[in-house]
Amino acid sequence: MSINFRDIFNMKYGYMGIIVVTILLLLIFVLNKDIKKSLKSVSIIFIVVGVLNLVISLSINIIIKVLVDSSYRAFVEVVSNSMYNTLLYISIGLIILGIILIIINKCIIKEKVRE
Amino acid sequence: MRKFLVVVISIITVIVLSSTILYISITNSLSEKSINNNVKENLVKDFMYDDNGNNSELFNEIIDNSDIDKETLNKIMESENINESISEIVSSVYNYNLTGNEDYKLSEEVIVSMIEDNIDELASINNQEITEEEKEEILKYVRENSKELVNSLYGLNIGDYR
Repeated sequence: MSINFRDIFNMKYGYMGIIVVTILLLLIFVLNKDIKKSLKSVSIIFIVVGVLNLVISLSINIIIKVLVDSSYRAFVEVVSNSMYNTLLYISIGLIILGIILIIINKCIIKEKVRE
Repeated sequence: MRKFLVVVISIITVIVLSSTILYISITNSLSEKSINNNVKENLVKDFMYDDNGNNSELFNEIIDNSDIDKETLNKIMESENINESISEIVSSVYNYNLTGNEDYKLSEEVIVSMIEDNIDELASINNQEITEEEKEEILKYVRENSKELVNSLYGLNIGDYR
């Protein structure tokens, strides 16, 4: 009996993950009470996750090149290439978002000091 | 206490967000659209060449174990129509292996018609002229063995990832 991989890896579970992350981020905002502290926490989370996924995507690429027999690599890379690219883009996006949030936070702090 | 809670929730968020991104990436890479595009764009290139731009091990193995010479196989793989047909077959094998859904299987008739469509091009790449009689004979052989061909095609465990 074959396994239906598209049932296991279904986008609806991905959306559920996004909803959970949103709730957790809202919880951080509520608990921190201060917008500056919240922004700092969220930006650190984004940068840490971005770097973590960047490392994972690079590891996947290296592991496949080193471990997978070259006769099979052409077939495995059909799936892994796309996964690697998606991970890479999301990671870079998260790191950029984290940096933007840090800059916004610094601007808010400067504005408050001026006041 | 509040600070401690923020730290704990932050750690949970990092884990959940990382897992979600990883899961979404896998889901995206296994989608039908992604498989079809990747097979079309990369499979033939990856099958033919290694990272250094030389012919791959698999490519050389085929040359060693068949009567086809390197130049002919290169021409066959680079032909747009043949490439399209091979991509369609490989995509269907991938989609079938990933889902077990019989709808992805190409029928014997479709595979025979693909061979029929490409037979003239294959002959011209080989610098051979093929008469209508010879063509009919080849197609007759293909039709007789099409069931076996389809069975062996979908019995493959490509990529060995299952």
